[in-house]
Amino acid sequence: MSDAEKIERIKEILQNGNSTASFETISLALSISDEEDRDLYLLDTIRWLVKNNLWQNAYGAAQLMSESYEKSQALQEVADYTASIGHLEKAFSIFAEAEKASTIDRLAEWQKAELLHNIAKSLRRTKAVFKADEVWEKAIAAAQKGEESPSSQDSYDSASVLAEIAEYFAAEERVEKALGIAREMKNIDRKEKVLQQISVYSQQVRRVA
Amino acid sequence: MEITLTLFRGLNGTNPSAFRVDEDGVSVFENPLPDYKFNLPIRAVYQNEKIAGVIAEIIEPALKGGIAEYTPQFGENHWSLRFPDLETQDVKVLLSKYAKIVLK
Repeated sequence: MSDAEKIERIKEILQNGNSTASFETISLALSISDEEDRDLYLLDTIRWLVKNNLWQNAYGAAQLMSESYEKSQALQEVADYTASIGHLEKAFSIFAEAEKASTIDRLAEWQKAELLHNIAKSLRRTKAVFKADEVWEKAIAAAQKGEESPSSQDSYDSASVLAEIAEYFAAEERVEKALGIAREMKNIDRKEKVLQQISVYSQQVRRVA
Repeated sequence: MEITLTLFRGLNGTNPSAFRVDEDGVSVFENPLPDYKFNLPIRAVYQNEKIAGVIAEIIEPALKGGIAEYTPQFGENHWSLRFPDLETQDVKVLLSKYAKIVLK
């Protein structure tokens, strides 16, 4: 069976199949020869397994992925689900794996920051406030490092993640934190835009108060 | 006067995660970028003068509906690629599919 045929079969199962086909899907995805496609369809399979409450299978499949953005994303989504059903201890250990997977060298700094920001948001949802802040600090540090990149594209994409994090804090009414991130930004145009956005959020907060 | 140009996105992979999409769109540049495994070419046309804010229409059949705005304030030769009818995740998936066709 070619990679294209395997992908078609996986799509068919994910769309119409029941959860008894879970092992067939994992096995098909694992046998895709192109590494990127393999991770992409394993991620889709993992999301489908989580949706069908098969989080242990999803977790097992995530551990078989290559070191990639998709692996960290898959682990974070499994951890998120595990926390939502009350298995907090397991969830935190999977969040830690997701965090570790997000810092591999082959990722651009903006990708690391984007992943860490998403992990921190998930941790925040599970009320792990201190751990979430710790991960946010790592996300901010990665994005700030990326902003210094000699590549204009990496630098701009990193500024974009910094802006997203700052606006998230502003929306969460953590205006001082948001301002601290924005003021450190190197991209002037982006910095002005974020500061303006934070000002809008803080006015809204004052109006509600 | 119609002017055709090729915009580039530097990539180290072709999955949706290789594309950063925000409210300004996706960053693309007029020249290939060094130090990336791939440079994804995207052809576009605009009319008359290239000034900040000018809009180019993407002419790649696989990226129908896409536009690019010239945004030099974000960096030298920088354009912001947008797909106004698509959500962020759909933009990533569309560009990833295009990248897999062109680069693999």
